[in-house]
Order: sequence, then C-alpha cells, then structure tokens
Amino acid sequence: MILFGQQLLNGVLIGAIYALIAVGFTLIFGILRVVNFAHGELYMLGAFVAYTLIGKMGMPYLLAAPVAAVVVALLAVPLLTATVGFLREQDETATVLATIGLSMVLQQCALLTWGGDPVMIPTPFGETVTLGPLYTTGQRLLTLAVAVALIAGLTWFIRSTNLGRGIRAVAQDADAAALVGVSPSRIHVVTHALAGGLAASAGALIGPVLAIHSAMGELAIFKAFVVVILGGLGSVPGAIAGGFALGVVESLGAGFIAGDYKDAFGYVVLIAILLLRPAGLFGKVAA
Amino acid sequence: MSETRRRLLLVTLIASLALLARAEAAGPLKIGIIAPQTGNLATDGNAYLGAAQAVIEAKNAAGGIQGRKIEVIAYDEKGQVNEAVNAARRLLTEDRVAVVLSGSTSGNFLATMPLLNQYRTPALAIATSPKVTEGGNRYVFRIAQLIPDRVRDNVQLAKELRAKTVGFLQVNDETQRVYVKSVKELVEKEGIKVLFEEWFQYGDSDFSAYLSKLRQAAPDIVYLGGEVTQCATILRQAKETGVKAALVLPTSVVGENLLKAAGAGADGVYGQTIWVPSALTTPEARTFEALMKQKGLPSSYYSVIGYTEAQIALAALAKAGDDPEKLRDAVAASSIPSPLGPIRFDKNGHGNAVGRVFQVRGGLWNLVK
Repeated sequence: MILFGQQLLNGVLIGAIYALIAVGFTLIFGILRVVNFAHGELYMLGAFVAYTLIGKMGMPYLLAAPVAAVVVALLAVPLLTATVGFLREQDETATVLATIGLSMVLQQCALLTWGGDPVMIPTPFGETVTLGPLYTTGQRLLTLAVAVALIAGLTWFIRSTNLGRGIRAVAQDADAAALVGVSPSRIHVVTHALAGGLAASAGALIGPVLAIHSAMGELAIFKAFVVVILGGLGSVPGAIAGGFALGVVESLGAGFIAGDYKDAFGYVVLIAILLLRPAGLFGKVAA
Repeated sequence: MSETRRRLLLVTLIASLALLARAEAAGPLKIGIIAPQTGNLATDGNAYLGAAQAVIEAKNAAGGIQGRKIEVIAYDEKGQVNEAVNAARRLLTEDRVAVVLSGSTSGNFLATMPLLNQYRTPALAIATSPKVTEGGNRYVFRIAQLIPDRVRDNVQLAKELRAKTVGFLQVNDETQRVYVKSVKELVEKEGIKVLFEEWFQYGDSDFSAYLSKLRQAAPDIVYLGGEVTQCATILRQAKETGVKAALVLPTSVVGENLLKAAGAGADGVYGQTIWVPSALTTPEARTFEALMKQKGLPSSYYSVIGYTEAQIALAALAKAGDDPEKLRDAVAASSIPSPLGPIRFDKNGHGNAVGRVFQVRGGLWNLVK
C-alpha cells in the first residue's frame, strides 16, 4: 500500500510537468490550429537559460527560473511568428514542416551553445522530504506547486480577463472575433508568448530533477502529443487532466507491471480513451 | 651548377611530379564513420566521431598516407537501427569507403554487419555484444572490452564488498541483456541472491518509479545501465530516494562526462572500464589527452575507442592501401601502440584492452584494484 502511495505521488509529480508542457502545446493548436513541433525545444531552452543564469551570472534558482520563462516567452514570439504566424494561412503542411525545421535549428543552436554533454541545474531544494511513509524532494514539491499555480493562473486569465476572452473568441472563430474588434494577430502574439513561457517554466522546474541536454525536447514533444490527444486536441482542461493521467499511469505501470513497457502503458490508455471517446477526454466531436 | 647536377635535379623534379600526379589520380583514401550525432546517444557518438576525425585530421596535416589524403564521410544514425543500416548502405554502395568505423550500439551495429560482409569491407566497432565477433564475419573488429571480462570484474567487486544480494536497473538493449544474464549466472554460483531486476528504455528520463521499488527491495549492490544522461539522472534520483545500495555504472559511461553531468551525485559510485584518464599515464595516453584537450573533446570511453580505432585503420591503410582483403589482413595483424596499450586482435577480431574497477571519490575516478 505504501509503495502504491509512493508510485501515485511519483506519478502526480511528473504528471504536473507533462501537464505544463501540454497546456502550451494545446493552446497553440487551439488558437492557431497548428501542431507546433518546436514546442519541446522551448521547454529545452527554458532549462538551459535557467542553467546559464545560475551558472554564469550567479542568479539564485528562485529568480533564474521565472527569468528564464520570461526570456523564452519573449523569444517564442518572433520565432513562432516567423514560422507558424506567416505560413499558417497559406499551407498547413508547410507550417508543420516549418515548426519541424525550427525545432532542428533550435536543437543545433543549443548543441553549439551548451555542448552535447548533459548537465543538471543546481537547486537549493534537492534534499529529501518525507510525507509520513512517503518521500520526495523539495524540488519536486516546488515543481508541483508552481505547475498547479501556473495552470490555475492561466485558467483564470483565459476565463476572466479581456485578453483571455479574446483568446477564447479567436479559438472559436477567428473571423467572427475580428468582426467584434478582437485582433487575431495580437491574440496570436500573446498565445506564442504564453506557450513559450509555460514550456520554459516546465524546463526550468524539471532541470534540477532530470539531466538536461539539447535533445530533451524530442521526448517532451512525444509526451505532449499523448497528453493532448488523451485530453482532447485544443482543450486546456483536457491537457491538464491528460498530463496528470499519463504521469500516474506510467508510474503505476512501471511500479507494478513492467518498467520496460512504461511508455506503452500511456499508449494503451490513449487507445482505450479514444475508443470510448474519439475526441479525447475533454474534446468536442465536430458536428 | 654542373650539367650532371642540373639533370639530376630535373629528373628528381619530374619523378616527384609523376608521383604526385599518381597520388592525385588515385584519389583520397576514404574512411566511413557511422555514429549517433543527434538524439539521446549524441554525447557518446560525437565523442567517438570527434576523436576519430581528430586523428585523421592530424594525419592529413602530416601529408596523408603516401601522398594520398584521407577523406572522412560521416553519417548520423541518430541511435536508430534503420538509420544505421541506411548509413552503412550509402557508405558501401555510393561512397565506396575502404574501411568503416562504427560508434553505434550493439543492436544497431549488428544490423549493419550483413552489409559489411556482403561488400567485404573491414570495420572497427565499439559494439560489445558477443554476437559482433561470434558471427563469423571476418571483416569485423572491435577493441571494446568483452562482456565476460566486465562481468568477471563486476562480480569480483560484489564479492569484495561482501554483497549478499544484488539488483539490476538496466536499459533494454542487446548488450545489457547479455551482461545481466552473465552476471546473474555468476553471482548465483557465488550464493548471492538477485533481489531486483527492472528494465527501462533509451529515452526514459524519470526513474522515480523504479527507484521507489529499488529502495523497498534494498539489495546490497545494483548494476546500472543506460547512457550518460540516464545514469547521471539515476544517481541523483537514487540519492534523493534514499537508495543505500552500492551502485555500479555500465562501462560505457565511466569517464569525465559522467562526473560533469552527475556532480556530487556521482560520489561513491563504482565503474569498470578500460579507460580513465587520470589513472593511465603512458606517452600514448598523454598524446591522446592533449589532442582531446586541443579539440575541445571529452576524454572518455567513447573518444578513446574512436581515437584508437581510427589509428588502427590509418596504420592498416598505410600498410595495405584500400584493397579490401589486404586491408582486412592488415587490421587483423595490427599491433600499434595506443592509449589503451598495444592492441592485438584474436582470430575472431576481439581486441585485448584490459579493464579495471574505479570508484568516484572526491569528484575523481580512483582505481579500486
């Protein structure tokens, strides 16, 4: 029973990161109807920018992580505008290919800048924390707390602010939104920044837990895919639920069935959900 | 200048030009390199590739081989078996290289072996699976230490640490499957029980689920698998999880990269390898170290094997040219000095590099025996 509780906790903690990556990924899809293959690289950049701010500029971790998120959010705007923004209306295939190209360029830039060796972000919260019979680290608890706070903040922003209402309006119908005075191009810029910032936050939070390297975004994008399809393409609540579900399923599967099929458990659940709900947990079937 | 001297000078000049022209006409000697340059195995693959390229660049700078330049054609196999096979096919059918160097994992290299045999092209590989040289492919050579030698040293370590129980947290690939099977057979003969066995995939990055189980099983010693990023993560997460077992790394990650990636998490960990820079100080080892430093490359298991295999390939090309049979025989008869000592191959193509067990203490690898 203790092992079950431990694996559940492990799953929730890693699920928070999956959710954080997937929320930005699904936002881009929901607003721009584009699968952004470079999203994993924004996550990777968040980790490396935080690593550089701490290692080269002596910034404390608690400051470096949000600064890294802001830097990558600002960087995401021109990068995604130049690829997704310009090509989206012309050709969907070209847009997807452009994001694949962008992911390759960013990965190679990271390789040139930070080298090929994996590194870890130093953290003051690396000590083991016990929760009764369960244990984790301060960094993992911080990751969960920040991920939940960011997701809650994003949900409030989308639901309660004018800009958030604009995002929802453009997601539903960009032309109709434009007719009532919402600028889709402005919404796109905000969406790019939000997606970049969320992905980078995930990278900066996970960097002290997992080793970071230039190819780490590739794995993240596969996980994000599973999560958003599980939750329903374009659905923010779906991405949150899907992220936590995938983390828990993988952890329990690896803990109680077989570790080498860890990734397969996620896909089995995905297939099962799609058979029951073809549009995912929170997705709506097109009329 | 006398007439005789003038004539002699003219003849020498003409002969030199003729030789140069013949060398130019013969074209460069081609060496193909297949290694993962991107993806999870990129660190190791780039170390292998970079070190091999550095040796070949140095040879070209010194005039090449008998006036012929050496051309390197390198393909990225991305850690994927289909990419490795495609790379081998291109090297053998389009580029027509004289010799292939492979920094691929055993599984990927094994998939390219039928092509090497078909095109009768000598290859030097880092792959450690017994199948690499047990398959009767007379064109394949490798200097990585064989699995039985690693197994013997690592089981001896368990005995010296008076371990009563062992565990395995391993990456699911051909080499590690063979390794685990061999260690299990040997430790069970010694009366040591296997308490824990879990397998993960290349690409896995969070090990908390496995380590929670490992902590509960509590074996005395655990043999780890995976590439350098994964091992660094496992070491850090094992400390966070409160795993008390002695941890033994796979040979392929023992080196400076691991220390850099794992930091303080590496303290106390063991590893068996043929190469630890701080512990080997022969002139050849120092030359290798200096070249790696100059090129900004790591001094690691992968780079030292890439370096040594390229040296062997160059020596064989110098002796036999690019005729496949003569080149194959020249590699087989190789006995050049190297950072790993003089490497000789047995009749199956195994090199004779000798391994030792090391432990990280104070941020450095120290010889255990």
